[in-house]
Amino acid sequence: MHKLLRITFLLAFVAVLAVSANAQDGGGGVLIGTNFGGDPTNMNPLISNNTVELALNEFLFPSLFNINPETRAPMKGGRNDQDNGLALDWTISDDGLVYTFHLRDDVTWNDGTPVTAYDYKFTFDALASEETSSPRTDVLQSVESIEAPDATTIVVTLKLASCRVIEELDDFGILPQHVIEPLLEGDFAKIDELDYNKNPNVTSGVFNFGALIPDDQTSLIRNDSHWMSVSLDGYIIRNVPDQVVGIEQFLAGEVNSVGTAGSASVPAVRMQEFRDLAEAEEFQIYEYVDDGLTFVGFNLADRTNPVDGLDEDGSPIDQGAHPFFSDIRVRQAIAQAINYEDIIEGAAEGEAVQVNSFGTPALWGYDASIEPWQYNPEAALALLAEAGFIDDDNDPSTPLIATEDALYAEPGTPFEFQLLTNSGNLVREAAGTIIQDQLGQIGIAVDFQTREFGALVQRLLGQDFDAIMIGFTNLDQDTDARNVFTPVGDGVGGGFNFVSYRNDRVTELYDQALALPGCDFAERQALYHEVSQILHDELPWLWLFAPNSMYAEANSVQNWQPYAEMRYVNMADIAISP
Amino acid sequence: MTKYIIRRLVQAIPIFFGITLLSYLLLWMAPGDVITRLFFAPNISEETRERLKAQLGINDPFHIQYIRWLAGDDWLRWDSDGDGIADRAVEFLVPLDANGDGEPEPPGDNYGVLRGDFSRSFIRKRPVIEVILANLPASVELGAAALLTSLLIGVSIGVLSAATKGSLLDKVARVMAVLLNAIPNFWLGLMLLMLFGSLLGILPVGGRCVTNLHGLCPPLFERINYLILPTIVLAGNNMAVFSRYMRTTTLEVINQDYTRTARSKGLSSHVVYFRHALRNALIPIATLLGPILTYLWSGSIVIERVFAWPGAGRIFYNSAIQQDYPMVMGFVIFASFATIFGFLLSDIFYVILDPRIRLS
Repeated sequence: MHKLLRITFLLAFVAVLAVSANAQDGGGGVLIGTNFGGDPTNMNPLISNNTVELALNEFLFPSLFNINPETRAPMKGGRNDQDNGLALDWTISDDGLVYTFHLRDDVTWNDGTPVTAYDYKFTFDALASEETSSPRTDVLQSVESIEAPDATTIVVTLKLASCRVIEELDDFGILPQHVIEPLLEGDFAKIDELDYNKNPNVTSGVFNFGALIPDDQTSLIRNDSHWMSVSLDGYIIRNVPDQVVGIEQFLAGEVNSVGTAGSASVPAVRMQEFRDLAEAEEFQIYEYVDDGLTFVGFNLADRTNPVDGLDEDGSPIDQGAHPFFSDIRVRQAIAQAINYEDIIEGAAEGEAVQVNSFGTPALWGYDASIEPWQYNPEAALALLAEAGFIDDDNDPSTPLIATEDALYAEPGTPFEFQLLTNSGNLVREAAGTIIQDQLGQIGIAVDFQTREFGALVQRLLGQDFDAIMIGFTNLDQDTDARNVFTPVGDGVGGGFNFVSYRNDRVTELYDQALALPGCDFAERQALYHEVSQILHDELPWLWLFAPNSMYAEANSVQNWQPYAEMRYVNMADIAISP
Repeated sequence: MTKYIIRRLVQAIPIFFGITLLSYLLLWMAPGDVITRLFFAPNISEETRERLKAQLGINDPFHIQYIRWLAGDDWLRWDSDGDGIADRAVEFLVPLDANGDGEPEPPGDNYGVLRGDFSRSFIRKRPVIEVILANLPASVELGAAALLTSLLIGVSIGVLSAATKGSLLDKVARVMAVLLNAIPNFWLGLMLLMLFGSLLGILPVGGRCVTNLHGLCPPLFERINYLILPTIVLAGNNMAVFSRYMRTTTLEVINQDYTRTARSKGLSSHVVYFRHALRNALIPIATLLGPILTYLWSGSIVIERVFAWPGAGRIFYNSAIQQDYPMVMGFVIFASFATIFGFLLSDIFYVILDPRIRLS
C-alpha cells in the first residue's frame, strides 16, 4: 500500500512538472488555433474540400489572384497573404470569351523552382481530366481551353461568355508541376492517392507544411524563402472536436485563437460573454455577419408527383401545384405571420440578422436596402382570406379551411402542412417550434418534424416535402443562383431548385449578369439587386436569418487586421508577443 | 486449452461474417450518401456529384459493394497488359465499361478486408487499416490506463467495503458507485475539464501532449497530466461495477468455511483477505472482461471526443457523421474482435483463477 502511495505521489509530481513545461516553441511565436471539424486529410488544393483544408491551402499554395478584403472582389496585384495571388493584371476580350492573365515572375516554390503559368495549366489539365475526386469541375462548363504561351501568361478561352468564370478559375489552386507530374505516370487519377496530399512538402505560401498528427494537430512552419518577411515561427491548428472544450482551451490560454483561418467558431450562446471579456481587454474580437443563411423552402409543385422542371429539349414540364404554396398570397401571408425577432432571439440567441432575400449582407450581390418582411398577423389573415382560406368555425384552435376561392386547394381542405428540418441542429429545431406556434395562431396547422440529415436531404432533393427548413453556408460571393432559382436546377433527385420555382425574368437577369460585356462590377450588382427584389416579393423561400460570426484572438496576437471571412489577411505581419 | 481456443476461434468466423454483413446492410440502407453530405451546396452541380459517386461506387448494388469491401476489387476489373487501362473484368458482377461511355472504368486497386487493407476510406483516400493503426496507440494507451485504474481502484474499494461492511467507507463507496454509474461520462468529462483545466488550471484542457510545431509527443511519463482526466472518466463506470461485484463476492467468500479456517489458524486479516479471499472473489470479475473490452473500445468514442484525445474512437464518430462506410466498418471489425477476444480471455482467466474449471 505504501508503495502504491509513493507511485501516486510521484505521478502527481511529474504531472505538475509537465504542466509547468507547457510552453510553445520559441522565436517569433506560434499562432495556435482550434479546429472543430475533421482532419485536413487532403491538402492538395485540387481535391481538398473541408474548411480546415481550404484554410491551410491559403497559406501553402499560390492562387490566381488576391481578393480585395473590403469589396470581396478579385484584385489586380496588391498584397494579401491569405490569397497569395499571382495575377498582376488581366484583360478580357471584347466578346468576353478570352481572358488573359499576366502573372508575377518573382514567386517560387519552396524548393526554389519558379511558380509559373505552366503550373496553373497543369493543374487545370488534371481537373479537366475528370479523373480526380475534385468537386470543382463545374468550371469546365464554361472553359474551352487554357493555354500558357509563356511562364507568366495564362490565356483562358471560354465556350460562352461568363463573368462568373473569374471566380471559378481561382477555385482549384495551383500545384507544382515539376513535383506532381513525375508521380502520375500520365494518369491523373493517381492524384487522389499521392502522399503529397497529406504531406505537401513543396509549396509556395508564407508557411511550409510542418506535420499532420492524425486527430491531434496540423502545423505549418515559416517559409524563410518567401518573398515576404514572415514574423511567426509557425501556425498550429489543434483538432478539438468539442467546441466547448476548444473555447475552454482558449480561455485557459492553451491556444491563442478560437477556430481557424477559415472558421470563426465562437458559438452564439457565448458571444455576449466574449464581448464583455473583450471589453475588459481580456482578448480581442472581430464580428461580422456570416455568408450563410437559414430559410424555409416552400414546395411550389405537386409533391405527390415530383417531375423535373424541363424536358430533354429544355421545354417546361407541367409540375402540378401545391395546394397551398403555389399561391403567392399564401406565401406572403406566412411571411407576415412570422415574428422574426422571436426567432432570432429564441432560436439564434439574438446572434443573427434577418435577411430579405437570397444571400447575406456579407455578399456583394445582396441588396441590403430591401425592407425585409415584417410581422403583421392581421395582414397575414387578410391575405389568407383573399386567397380563399377562412376560419369557418370561429375556433382559433382548428385550422383554416379552403373555400371555393382557393386557387389550388380543394374546398374544405384544412390548412395543414408538414415542416421538416434536420435533427441535432438546435437552432433550427427551436426556430421550427416557434414557426409552428406562430402559424398556429393564425390557423395554419404545422406538423413540425425533424429528420436525420441524410434522410432530410433525400426528401429535399426528391422534392417529396411541403416545406423544409435548412441552411446554406459559405455561399459564393457572386450571388448567381441559377441552380437554385431557375428551371435548369429543377431536377428531381439532385437539383437545387428543389422548390420548383420559375420566373422568366429571374432567368433573364441571371443570364444578363453572367454574360455582361466587360463584366462591370456595379452593373452586375444592379442586376443581382433586381433578382433580390423579385425573390423577396415572390418568396420561393421564407427568408429567415444569417448568423453573426465572431473571431477571437488572445491579446498576445499582435498586428492582427481581420476582415469578414478573411481572418489573417496580413499573416506575414502577425507576431506573438511573449 | 489450446484445442478449446482454436475451436472458439473457428466458431467466431461465422459470427464475424454475420456481424459484417448485418453492419454493412444497415449502413447501406441508411438514407443519404457521403457525396451528397460533403457537397450539399448549390454551386456544385448534380453532374459533378454523380461523377464523384460513380468514382466511389456507391450507386452500385449492395452485393457488389459488399464483395468489393470484403475481398477487394483488383480481381473484379484489372489491367492484364500493364498499360494502366483495365481490359479484363468479371463481367456479370462489374462490367468493364460500367457507365456505358465507351471507355473502360479504371482497374480496381483495393484488397479488401480479407486481404488486410480493410478497403479504402471514401474521404481520406487511404486504406482504412492505415488510418486506424495511426490512431490506435493513443486508444490503447487510454484504454489500458482506464482498465488498470478501474481494476486497481475498483477491486481495492470492493474488498475494503466488504471488510468494513456498514462503515462510513462502505457507505461512501456504495454512493459513489451509484453516482459513477448514473452520471453520463461526457458530462462528467466536461465538468472535470472546466474544474481542473479552466478554473483551477492544474491540468490541461484536453489533448494528449504539449502543442509544438513538430507534433511529437514525449514519453508517457512526461505527459501523464494529459492522461489523468480521460482515464478517470473512462474508468469511472468500470470502477463502480468492479467495486460492487468485488464487495458482493468478497462478502460471500469471507463467510465460506475455508476463510474461517484461515482465520482460526491465526492468519492476519491482510493475509486472509488478499491471499485466500481475493483470488476466489475475483472469479466473477473475469466474466466482466469481455464486455469491458467492448465498453472501452466503444466508450472511447465519446471520451476521446470530449478530451480531444487523438484515438481511434474519434475516427468512428467523424466517419459515421460523414457516412464514410469503409471507415465505420473498420471500427466495427475492431469492436467485433475486441468482443470475441474479450470473451475468450474471460474463459481463459476462469481456468487460471479456478483450477477446478476445465474448458471443454
